[in-house]
Amino acid sequence: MTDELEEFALSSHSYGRITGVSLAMHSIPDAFLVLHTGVGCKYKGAGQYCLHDLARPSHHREGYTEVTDLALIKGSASRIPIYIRSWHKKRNPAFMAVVSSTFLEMAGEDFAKAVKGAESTVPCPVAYVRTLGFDGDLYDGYNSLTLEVLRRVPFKKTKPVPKKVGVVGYVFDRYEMDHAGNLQQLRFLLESLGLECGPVALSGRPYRELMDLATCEKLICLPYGRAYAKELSKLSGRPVIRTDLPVGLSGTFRWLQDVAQGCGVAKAAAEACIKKQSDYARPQMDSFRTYARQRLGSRRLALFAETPLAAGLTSFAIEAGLNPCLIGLRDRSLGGKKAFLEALRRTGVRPSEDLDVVENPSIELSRQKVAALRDKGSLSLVVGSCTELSYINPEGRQNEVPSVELGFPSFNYHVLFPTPYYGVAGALALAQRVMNQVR
Amino acid sequence: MSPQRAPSSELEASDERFWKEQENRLTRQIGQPCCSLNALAGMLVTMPGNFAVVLHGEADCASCFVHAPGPSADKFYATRITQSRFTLGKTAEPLAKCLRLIIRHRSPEAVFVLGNCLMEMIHDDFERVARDIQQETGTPVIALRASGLKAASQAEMVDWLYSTFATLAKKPSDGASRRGLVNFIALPEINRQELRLELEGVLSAAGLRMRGRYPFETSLSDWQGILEAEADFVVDKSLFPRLVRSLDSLGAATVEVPLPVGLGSSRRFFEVIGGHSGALKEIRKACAPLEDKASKRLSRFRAKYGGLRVAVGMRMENNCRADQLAYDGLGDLSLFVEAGFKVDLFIQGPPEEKARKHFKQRLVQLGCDMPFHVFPDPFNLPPLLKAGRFDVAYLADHARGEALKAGVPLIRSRSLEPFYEGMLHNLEYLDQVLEEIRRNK
Repeated sequence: MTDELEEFALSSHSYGRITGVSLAMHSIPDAFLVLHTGVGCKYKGAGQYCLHDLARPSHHREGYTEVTDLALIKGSASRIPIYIRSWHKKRNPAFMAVVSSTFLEMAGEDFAKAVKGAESTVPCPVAYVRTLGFDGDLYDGYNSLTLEVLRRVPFKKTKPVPKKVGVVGYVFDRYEMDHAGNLQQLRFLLESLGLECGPVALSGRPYRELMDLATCEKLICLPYGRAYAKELSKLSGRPVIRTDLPVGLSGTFRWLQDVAQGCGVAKAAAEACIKKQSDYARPQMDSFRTYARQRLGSRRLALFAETPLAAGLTSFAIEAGLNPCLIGLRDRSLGGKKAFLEALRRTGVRPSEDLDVVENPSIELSRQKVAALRDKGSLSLVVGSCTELSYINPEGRQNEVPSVELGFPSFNYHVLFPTPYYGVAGALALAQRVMNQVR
Repeated sequence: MSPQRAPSSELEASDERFWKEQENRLTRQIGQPCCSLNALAGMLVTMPGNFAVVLHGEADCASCFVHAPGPSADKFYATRITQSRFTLGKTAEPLAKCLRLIIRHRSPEAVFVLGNCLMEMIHDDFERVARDIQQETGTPVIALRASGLKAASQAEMVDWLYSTFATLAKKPSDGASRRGLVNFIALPEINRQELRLELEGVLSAAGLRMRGRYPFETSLSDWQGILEAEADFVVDKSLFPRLVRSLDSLGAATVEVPLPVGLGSSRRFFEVIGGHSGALKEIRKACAPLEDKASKRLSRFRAKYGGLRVAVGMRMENNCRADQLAYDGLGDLSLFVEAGFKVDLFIQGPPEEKARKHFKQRLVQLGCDMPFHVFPDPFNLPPLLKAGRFDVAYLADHARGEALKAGVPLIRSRSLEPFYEGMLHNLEYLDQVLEEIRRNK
């Protein structure tokens, strides 16, 4: 693959803003999304994750305004209020949002005004999110919608509860038990520092519960939410503590330190908390390392994930002795290689000198790079979403390269009991998944 | 928070006028309307072969179809037209560059350029770019105006793409024998070895050999070689007017066969093949033991379960699967009828009366007089399924939650298997599902 052709090739994570908004709306169970689009754009929404989330149907909370060429010529904005009212009547959502297609946006109609006008005719808040498709990715869309929710939290009218901490910037993409596990871990980690865990935005909880973020004294902003951290600080009037993800042992301990420092938890208390968790996890991680080293030898790991998660997983992989050599960063908005290396450095682990970090790789480039490692006999395992894995291990050659499916989308990995990848328990669960694969 | 207000009666009246005037996105066929780009990309991504696809438009349209499990998303490229290029109309340059690079580095046998809504809006002349590059490189570059602005039917899309493939068909070389070679178009997917063996066995009894099964298990090169067969057996020829015209004009013989799901349909399927190839006797002989076994199994099933009720969903899928679209989705019904089920159709569509009339008309055209219900969303299904006291629901997989809510076991639509062997599997599966309910009751 030449660099020039790579510029045009389909990336392994080519989702745009509409998918991001749709996914964010899916994570608020009583929200409803109106897609002001033609028939095709509806597949950018629920259609992209109906196979990813087996726990909750994706199609129920989304409708489209059935725009055709005729509506485009006659003007399409007038359809928006009618569909908002109709869907509200049918679904009675607590919160609605409207997005539109690029070609409709380019027609120059004022959709924001149409949505604002419609909001006064239904008994719930309605947000308009501009989702131009020329650039931006899933996380841009997810963040825009999260910010619309945060703007509606009554921070100014609510007195915060001491030691209650809210979390923003969590990307909840399904109602399966991997996320349930992560959310349990976040709660556990905060409580282990003596803090009370408030709402997590977004986390599969109803709109009304998200409004309780107003009761939080401080807000922790996970790296996905960096884009709006500054605005959140202003609109909430609360301290916003920016952290990395609590992924891997070192990542989790660093997260605990950052939260403790931001929330005024005594250093000694934080250190005691970390020691307790470390004492629990280290022996098991040592067992894993011994097991894996015997089987993997000098073979190495390839990993595909969005920048913050990739940093956490790389940190985990290094401390677990998996020796990563190829990292594909699947987003276009979360800071890329620079942010990845900085986040990795903060966990305190050091990657090998030859670590190959590729920003936004195409499906073809991902496949080629993994194939080259495999052909040299130097590959132990691939971690990635079902998109990368489908092309690395095509049908009929399913087990050619041992793999762990993780991230969005996961069509072939589903979770029936709490299996986090956050926190100490998440590190051990990841080690377990890897252990099940390596021979 | 927003003002908590309900719509006024004036607003309600004006909304009502809108819904009455709203054209209901109804197409000639019963199936859901679809976006051309989503449909064509969705079909191309599942086809193996040495080809490339260029999505011509803004970046976001690359996510209007699902990329996994593929196998061909790695053959997809996107021009990712920027806002400034769009505004200035400078769309040809990235497309030409992309096409040249693909042809130079990947040497595809054909490149399909799919223009999206944005390109349609400015009537971008990407056909000219495609023509120029084809002339320059000698590689076929096929430009398809694939916007979602028109309410296209899935059937039209399937026919459009397949007839486009047919334009790439190569005349068989002189002296190449086509004798005894047959193609099948729009047969269901064959996932079991015994079904494949049944088809090949019956064909072989008549001296026939399968050359290709379209679209499953065929790559671009199979389409290029479609004329190497003596006959093309097509499930529901009315689904493929352009393809059939194109094949006929190229000298191929197209013959209609039923969707071979169920006993009677399987029999008719094989008899049509036998009749066409002058080997009816041989085909009947080869089928006799298979039919006998399936027929006995069917009798046992009817004796055990006769009189059960099934809700069959229609217009719920948007997957451009030819076997699902054949006969407007009624192809599977014969099995349920033969198995003694009382069938009610559940058509997903607009609730207005004119849509109902449209569906009724179409069912009559198709010779179907079964009772039908129209429901706007899967969300509306649970009370309807409950009220009808159905024993089984044959619905799109995404309605699994609704079926569960109604307490009706769901069998995924178009999962019934073809031929006599398939009949045995289908009845076995139905038996398992019904037994489980009986036990739970």
